[in-house]
Amino acid sequence: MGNDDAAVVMRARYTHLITVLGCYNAGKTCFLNSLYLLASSNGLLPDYRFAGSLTLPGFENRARLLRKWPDGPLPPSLADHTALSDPRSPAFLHLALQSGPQYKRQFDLLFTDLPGEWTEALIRRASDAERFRFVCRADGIIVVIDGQAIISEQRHAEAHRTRLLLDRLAGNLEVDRDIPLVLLISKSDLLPDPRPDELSALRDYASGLGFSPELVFCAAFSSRYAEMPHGTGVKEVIGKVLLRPAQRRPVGDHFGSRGASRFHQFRWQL
Amino acid sequence: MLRNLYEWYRIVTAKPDDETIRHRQASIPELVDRLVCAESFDLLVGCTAAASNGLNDRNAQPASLVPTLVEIIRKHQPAFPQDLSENALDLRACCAVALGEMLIRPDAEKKKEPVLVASLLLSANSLRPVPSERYLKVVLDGLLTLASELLERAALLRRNGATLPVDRLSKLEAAADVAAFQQQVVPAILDCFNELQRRAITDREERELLWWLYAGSSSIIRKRVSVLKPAVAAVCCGGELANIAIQPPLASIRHMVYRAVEEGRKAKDLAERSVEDMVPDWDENVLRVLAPGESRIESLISAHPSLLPLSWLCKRLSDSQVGSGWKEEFELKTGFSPTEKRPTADWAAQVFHERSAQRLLAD
Repeated sequence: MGNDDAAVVMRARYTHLITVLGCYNAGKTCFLNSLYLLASSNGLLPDYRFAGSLTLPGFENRARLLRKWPDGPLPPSLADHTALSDPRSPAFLHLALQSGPQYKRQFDLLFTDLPGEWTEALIRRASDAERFRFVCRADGIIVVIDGQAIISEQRHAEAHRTRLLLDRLAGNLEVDRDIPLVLLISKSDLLPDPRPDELSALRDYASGLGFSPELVFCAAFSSRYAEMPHGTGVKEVIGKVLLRPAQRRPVGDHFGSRGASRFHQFRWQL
Repeated sequence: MLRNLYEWYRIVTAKPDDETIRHRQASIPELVDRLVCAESFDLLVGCTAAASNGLNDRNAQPASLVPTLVEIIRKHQPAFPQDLSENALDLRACCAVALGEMLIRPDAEKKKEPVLVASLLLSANSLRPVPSERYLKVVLDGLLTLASELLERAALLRRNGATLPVDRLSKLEAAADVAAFQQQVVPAILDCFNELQRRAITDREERELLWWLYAGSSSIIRKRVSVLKPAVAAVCCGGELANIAIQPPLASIRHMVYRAVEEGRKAKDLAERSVEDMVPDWDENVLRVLAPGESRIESLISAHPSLLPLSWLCKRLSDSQVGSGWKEEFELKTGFSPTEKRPTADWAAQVFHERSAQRLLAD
């Protein structure tokens, strides 16, 4: 769905906007496909129950290649390259999940589905930041880092691009640092043990910019199914973005302080 | 409020466009005027409930609220949808902005409607968990801060008057006749006496609050507060101090409530407890603190349980003689869980908020 359709959903009820960023072939669409397939086949239980999607055709279209996969080794391409019907506006995929006791709590999630070229344009040119202004309304940001690239000869370039992207989020878009930020390492089934140092360095870099990043190793579709099942890390990403510890307000005034000093102020205030 | 319209409107749309912002900038002032000029408080209270808790089945909003909101918005944006299933959050955002705008208007602290709204906002939201929806939290935090600030200004205004105009009396000049002299002296004397009366009321408030605290005794139960069960002490301290205080109360009086509940108590008495834990200790005398039987207050409680949750519960328990099924109904109507635990002092403060709001409505 485009901006206008997303606005219709958001006008009716609170909708969590999750921005998924990453370069071409990083694994954004595979992550979304994996999320959809897990959700719709009860793979997110017991924490989350699938409650429908307003973009079922969109998800099914993106999962088309996966439906054709006849099992066995992973095919070279699991998803078509993302193309936008309106190249100037982001597109969104909708997912509704239920959670909590008796699944009373419902979350409406809108995931951005952007071509990798958008992220690459943002990295190359700060002036492209304006079309990402919607990120300032995000309830969560997922930066997909290509796990395959991070262990290849292009690892320094991949790390450098990620740092630039984080700089754009912090500096040009001035995204609120409280927004949950997930550094999703895709294709983690290909990563060696121990994990490459570049990854924790990227997390530290994001922390230095004021974010509280979470590093999640994800294998949307795994080549080592026995050790790392399909969808590893997908549910964890949703939890990092959605689940915040329940907070209480201090019952009393919003000036915060309690105790003797406020008590004594009764006479001093008059 | 209008200056934060773009930021607050982000709960409804990822990137509020100029046209939408312009529409709302035109609609909101008209909505505020309509709320302030409403013949009854129903529309105003309904708007407060909508901003706090949303427009849903739990909140029985006045029949006129949604049509009024839609009518005002459609004057500037004809294509705005009418159905609540399509516009509930948008309307909630409009209510929040309108209330915020009302709370910051000049001399808001001198007017009854903004003070009542501020009091109800605190009553509805102080105990409620902070919303996990990030941008909704921004809106509610903003509203509650404005509400607290307004209440404090209004409280100080009620208590800090003008300098006693004695100089006017000493500057009275000889008049040509009695009538002319009367025209000079009567207003000056009246102003002096009014100011003296206001100060006497303020002084009496201070005296009565401090005597109540010093005695440490509930006038309802006729026992020392420290020997009452914590659940009973919470209601008595919050309710009785709210009854003594001039409305709206100063923030520091709330801290007297904390002191009253906590003084002389063992740690186990101050442990967290839930509504479910407290209800068995409440008898009819305790329930009447928040369900006093005044018709205007009772109709507010019945119509908007989410604004006055403990009041609704007390009325429900009193009406049904503590019948069964109240827990599910409490959660459904107020949005509070009957099993959520809070410190005793927090419950007392909530009683204080609710009783204060009731008195502001009744005045």
